[in-house]
Amino acid sequence: MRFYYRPLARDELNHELIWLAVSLGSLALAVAWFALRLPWPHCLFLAVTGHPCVTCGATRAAIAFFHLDFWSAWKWNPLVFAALCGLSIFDAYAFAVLVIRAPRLRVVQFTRSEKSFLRLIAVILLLSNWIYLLSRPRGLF
Amino acid sequence: MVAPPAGSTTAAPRSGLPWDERHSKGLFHGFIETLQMVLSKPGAAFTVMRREGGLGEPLLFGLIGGSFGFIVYLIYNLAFQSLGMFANRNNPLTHLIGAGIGGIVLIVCAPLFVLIGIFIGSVILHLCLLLLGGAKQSFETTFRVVCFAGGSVNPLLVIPFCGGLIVGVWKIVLYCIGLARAHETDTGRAVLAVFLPLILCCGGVILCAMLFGGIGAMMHNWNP
Ligand SMILES: [Zn+2]
Repeated sequence: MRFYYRPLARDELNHELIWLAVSLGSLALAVAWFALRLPWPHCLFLAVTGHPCVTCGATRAAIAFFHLDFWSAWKWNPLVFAALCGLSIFDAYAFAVLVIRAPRLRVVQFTRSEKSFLRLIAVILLLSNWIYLLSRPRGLF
Repeated sequence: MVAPPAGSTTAAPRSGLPWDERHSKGLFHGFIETLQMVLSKPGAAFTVMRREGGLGEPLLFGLIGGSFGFIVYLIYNLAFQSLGMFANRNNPLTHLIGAGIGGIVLIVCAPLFVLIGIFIGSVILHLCLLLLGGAKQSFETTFRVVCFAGGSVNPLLVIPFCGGLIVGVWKIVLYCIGLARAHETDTGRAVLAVFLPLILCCGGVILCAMLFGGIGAMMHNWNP
């Protein structure tokens, strides 16, 4: 796995611009959805089993996060909290490189064992998040 | 330059979909021919689909098909609700109309919903493929599959009442075939990648259904 900085190539996707725009657009839609008090979809897994799924509490974690109540966001769903932290860092980086026209950070050349390790980490994170949510008091979600 | 991802194959160049020739065929004919090919021969369509060449062209196809389908769906909903049908409290459209948001505003915003849906759907599918080791090509390939599958199947929302169900099922089938052919990965991985978001959120429901189905089948076999 190699990290390096280089200017955007001519035919290369401008990932920074694309994902900054998509995340801000999604945020704007979510804010509008809330402002209009539209109903959020209900979790089928929770409705049938009475237990939370891996993504349960994501909406409330996001609301707490954007109200800067990070502890509540973490408690609602640690994985969603971590994802929102990562997205915020990415957005700040993307905004900075687009404004100052800086070289782009790219991660390339993953070996087979690095890929397997990253997959294992992702599975462990998903499972531990789910175990944490299942350990929370019933009726919370 | 960026090295090709490990495990990628040096395949023969792909001839492309009719949409890539729309400058000579015309926009309408290019769109219809691509739609027909993707819906009737998805295996062949996603085998010839180009895997790279920018996001703009597939995005335009996905936006046209998706916006058309979404707008038709909105019009049906608005028409049925004005007749007092399907006006339930959990339908966001009912709330929007109650909040004084006109159908025109929704129709104008339709491409924005479709645009964000395409990007978020593509990134979720690509992450699932990466997790399962099925992503043999770049994100752009997954994005193209989502655009051409969605752009082709979403216009079927013109079918009243059951259009949504048909589009939902057909889209899942197209994603499975499209990801398998475009990434040149095995079909099992592609199918699992498409169903992984569902399994993560509704895994218990599927497991319970399988468990009860299995128990039911066993009890049926035990009966004399
Ligand atoms: Zn849930």
